[in-house]
Amino acid sequence: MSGSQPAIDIGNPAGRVAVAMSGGVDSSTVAGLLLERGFDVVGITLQLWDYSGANLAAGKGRCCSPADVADARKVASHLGIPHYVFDHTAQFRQQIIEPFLDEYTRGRTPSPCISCNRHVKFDHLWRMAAALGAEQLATGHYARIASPSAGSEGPARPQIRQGEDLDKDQSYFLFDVPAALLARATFPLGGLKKGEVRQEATRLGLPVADKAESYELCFIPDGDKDSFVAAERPAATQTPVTVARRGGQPLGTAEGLHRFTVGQRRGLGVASSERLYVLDVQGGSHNTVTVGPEEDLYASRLIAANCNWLAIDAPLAPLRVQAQIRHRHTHADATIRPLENGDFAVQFDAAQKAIAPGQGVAFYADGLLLGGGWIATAALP
Amino acid sequence: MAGGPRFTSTRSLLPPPGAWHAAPMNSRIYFDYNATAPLATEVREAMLPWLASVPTNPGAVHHSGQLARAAVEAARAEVAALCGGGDVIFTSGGTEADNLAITSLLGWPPTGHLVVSAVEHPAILEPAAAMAQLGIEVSDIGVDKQGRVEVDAVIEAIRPDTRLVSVMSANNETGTLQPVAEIAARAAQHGVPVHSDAVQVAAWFDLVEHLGESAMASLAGHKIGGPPGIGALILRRPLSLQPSQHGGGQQQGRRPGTEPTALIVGMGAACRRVSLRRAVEAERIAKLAQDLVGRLEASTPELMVTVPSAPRLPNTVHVCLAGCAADLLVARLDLDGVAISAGSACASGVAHGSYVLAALGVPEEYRDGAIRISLGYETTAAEVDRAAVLIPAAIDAIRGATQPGARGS
Repeated sequence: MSGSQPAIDIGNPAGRVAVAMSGGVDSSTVAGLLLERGFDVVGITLQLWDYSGANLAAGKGRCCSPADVADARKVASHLGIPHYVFDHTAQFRQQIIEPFLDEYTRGRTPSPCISCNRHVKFDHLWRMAAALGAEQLATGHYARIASPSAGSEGPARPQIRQGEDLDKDQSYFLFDVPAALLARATFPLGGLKKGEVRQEATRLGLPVADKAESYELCFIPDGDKDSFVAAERPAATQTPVTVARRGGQPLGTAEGLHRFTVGQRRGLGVASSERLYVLDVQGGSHNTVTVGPEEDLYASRLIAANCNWLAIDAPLAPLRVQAQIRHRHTHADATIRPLENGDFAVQFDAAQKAIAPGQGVAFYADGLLLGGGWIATAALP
Repeated sequence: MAGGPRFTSTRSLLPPPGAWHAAPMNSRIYFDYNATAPLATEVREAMLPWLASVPTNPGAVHHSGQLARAAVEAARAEVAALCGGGDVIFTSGGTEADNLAITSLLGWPPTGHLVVSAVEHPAILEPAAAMAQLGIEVSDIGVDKQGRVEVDAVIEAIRPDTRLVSVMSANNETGTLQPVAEIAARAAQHGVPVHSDAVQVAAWFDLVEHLGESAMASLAGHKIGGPPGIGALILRRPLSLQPSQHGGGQQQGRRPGTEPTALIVGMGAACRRVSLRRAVEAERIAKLAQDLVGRLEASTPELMVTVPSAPRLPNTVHVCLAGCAADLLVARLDLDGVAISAGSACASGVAHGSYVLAALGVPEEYRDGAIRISLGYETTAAEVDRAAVLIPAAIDAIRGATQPGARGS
């Protein structure tokens, strides 16, 4: 078993590599595999959220909790690599948490992991890595990125593809990272399946080889988003909200716009003889949640704002793509068309369910990540 | 890609201490003596016989116990001598000595009033805060821009029910000396005993002179070339103390628990070494530290010496940098083979903004960039020469990679 090492994705074949270590099995395995191949590996862990006080007990076993920072340390000392923990809580609150709260209180559905990749991992963390003399930043993302050193000119634009393990693919979360910041990024696990990564972790004897995966946001360890928003923005919970059928009479009232997300069925707080879903959430002066039957959840068009382009320059003409509108959403054929204000209209061949403003939409061409944008509005059919 | 280690079992992964690649151990520069000093050779040699497979219970009546007792008492005499005499209570370290000073003087349940400086080590501030929760009134005395406690302010804070004044001998972060002897003399006029956490000054100043009439002082073995895990509270004046832990009556019941003979012997040897070498080393290291700070000032823009004019520890260089995060600089220099410190180390290993710097009025943009370079008896001029090149280079690298507009590549 020790004789065969899996092929891993790596850009430059040598030099100092900083590994963004969360304390989870994926990034820990990245550190082990790179060390095994002779790289000068430095582990970096950012403490992103203050788990003191009430947060402490709840934070166990989740990303970036004290237990995870301790796990990252354990892995680093097991491997014998230098490892540094940096306090990033103030910047994380300002750049990720506050916008997350703003979005929910406006009735939108934020996607903080996308912003975290843009602002934290591939900006701040990469700068830290560079400050430590690293030539590359390796993360545990399940995505593939072409070697930045391939070809003498170097690729003008980052070539990111879906990870080999399509169930785990995380390329979607990368669409908003500016191309220049990806020049030194490397994703060694892009060619591996999750099961293979666990096997490697076991082979390397990593203390986190059997650690459970977390699916919750790292700063909401118990997964109770509503309580988190209510605690952080108490005024939002008191906002009166009208729940109504489209174009119809109000069905009732509720408190707190943040409790409603497009596609949601439970907890609407109104009685009805049929199954009702949230179709639309309007904040500001409206404060209205529109509900309706499941078939009304489908829309075939959306507007993508604040687009970021990776493998291509911003298209000037309509382009056929496959679009992904949330994590684990199956790519859907669509045509994107540039608008005069810089936004893009996305027209799906077949209507898609529960397109939520605030989420990201990523554009692919046969698994190659072209870029993406933020869903501004979804136009109903 | 080939040539890296091949892992076949979990055990073989662990490297020996200091094996990582950036610089071999013997070329690493250790400039973090205020955190801990390496165990001195002569201390280790003094300790080794007591780490052999012999019973070492100084409280035992039999032969081995009597030998251990003699060694412990000899060490006690060495520690007392460094402080100009007094009763020595061995503790697990400086933190316990500080805690013991406060809790055993205030008694149980604690009564009275306590005066401390605002820049004390957490080993004083935290027990003081715990006492405050139990109803004790605590007066925090602020510092001036040099980090000096004002003697008048301390004396004015004294009330009829004041039981203790505790002012550290030198600040662990900035190295600023406090006027402990003056405070002790004036507090004595009010009949109030003074305790001083002297762990940072012991290697550099004559404690008899520095402590003056102070009634109690705390020492830590590992700050002066002794082993970690041993410290002492020295009672320099007769005081009535109430023990904060209870047990088998060792050390006159004031700090019960079987005395760790090897550690105590190490502490004694470390104190002896200090008394033999302090005068020469303080002068030599002061020159090296001045040389280093001068070269850093000359080579690095936006660098301010935190406490330029107050009397300070001769070994401590404390500077603040704009546009260079101290935690990153510490990590970068570690990879380059230079050990320094950001602020003061905390238990989680994550550096936090320094409350001491805030008290000193350091400008906001310099506060994230506070570093402490602390030299020691083993420091050589060659190490200072190398560090005077490596540190500015690391600062440049960090500023280049992290300042706004930098691409970091």
